[in-house]
Amino acid sequence: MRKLILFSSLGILCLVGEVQAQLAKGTRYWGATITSNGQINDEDYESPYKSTNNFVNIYPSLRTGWFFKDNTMFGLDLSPSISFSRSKYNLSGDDSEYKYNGLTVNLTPYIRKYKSLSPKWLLYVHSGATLSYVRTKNTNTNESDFKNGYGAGLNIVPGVAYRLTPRFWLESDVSVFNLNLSYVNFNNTNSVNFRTGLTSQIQQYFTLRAAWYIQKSN
Amino acid sequence: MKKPILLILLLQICLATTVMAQLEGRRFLSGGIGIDFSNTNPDLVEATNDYSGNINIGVGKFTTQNKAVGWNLSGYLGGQKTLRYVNGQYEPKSGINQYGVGVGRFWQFYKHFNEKIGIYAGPDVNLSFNYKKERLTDQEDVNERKTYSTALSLGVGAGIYYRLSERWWLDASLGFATPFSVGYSKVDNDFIGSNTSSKANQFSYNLSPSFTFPSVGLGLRYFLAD
Repeated sequence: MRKLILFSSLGILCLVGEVQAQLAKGTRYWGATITSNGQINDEDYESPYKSTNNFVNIYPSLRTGWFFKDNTMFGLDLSPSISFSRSKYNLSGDDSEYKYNGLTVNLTPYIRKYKSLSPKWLLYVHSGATLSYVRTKNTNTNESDFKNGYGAGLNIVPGVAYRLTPRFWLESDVSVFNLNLSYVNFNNTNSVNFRTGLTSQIQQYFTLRAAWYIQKSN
Repeated sequence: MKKPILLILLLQICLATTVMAQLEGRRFLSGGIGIDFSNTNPDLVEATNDYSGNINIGVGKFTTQNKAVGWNLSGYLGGQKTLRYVNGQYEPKSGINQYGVGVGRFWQFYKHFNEKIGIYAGPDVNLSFNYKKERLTDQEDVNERKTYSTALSLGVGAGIYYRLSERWWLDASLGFATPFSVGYSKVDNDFIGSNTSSKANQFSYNLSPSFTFPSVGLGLRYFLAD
């Protein structure tokens, strides 16, 4: 009888160990995703007028993290958003050009808590504090104008992760419930934004992130 | 005597079902249709409406028990009744104002849960052509815009099936994603008020590792005789 209890508890321990093995203390985490779009538009009018408009937006995101204890990670997220646009007009041989470059750098220290559903599925709650810096440059033919701003925000969002290989996972935030508070000061204008909610909308738009969990080899 | 016959019968049924589950080499036709209609009826002016319909037909073949490849054809037609403000009064205009056709290649990978139900997912490549005619109010002028666009997209789709009979399956899509697409559009603007026009060429791309879930659409699948 004692042997049975001993073995079964050992078995349970092994099982627990296996489920948590992915997220043991000391595991290193890397996550990355990118979204981008762009357009080139060339327009000719009947009258001697031509215009060209181009734009490119790039939103990469890179994050890293350390499990300082089992199932809990501290990390840093760097998500710049980069926009370029250029417009050129030609009216009967007279050229004018307008350029816009925008850069926002968001740096978010965060804490993420995991709950394992099965060896393949994980749930997490991601909470972070974002510091951002905004810089824009407007060029009108030859004159340039710079504007600077900064912002801060708090964000809590849950998510799910799915294991493809022991080291490589796919994850996505699920904004069914989220809490978002942000403050932006740009060009001497302040704005405060607060958003929270339990959305009842069933259909969701998920952005996937590639994630790597690298265990400490000891 | 009765018992052995019953047993043999049961065995035969079992054999028949296992034969049914054999998918390799079988060809199928799949299809779905959708219809949208919306009507706006304000107090002071005449009612307006929007309607559209789409259809898609696929021809595919199971190359192995868990993999199918095929071609997909799709088309849609949309029309509306709008009001134009001409010389101080509203004038209705109705008719077909947009249509599109597309052709694509798909690959589907299956996981059969049991004899009846399974799921599938896989990539697809689509080429589509769309035409749209719209009237826009642009700085006190009316712009009659015609857009001809061509798009090439890489997508991923997932669905679930339910076997109704040996020949018929009920298909339901679950979600889709378009991680990458490129498009070319030709836009003709005709400003009616000032009697001028312009032409534009547009090239665009979109890279977005996102998917929409759930996105439920029902369809049917028919297996052809071998």
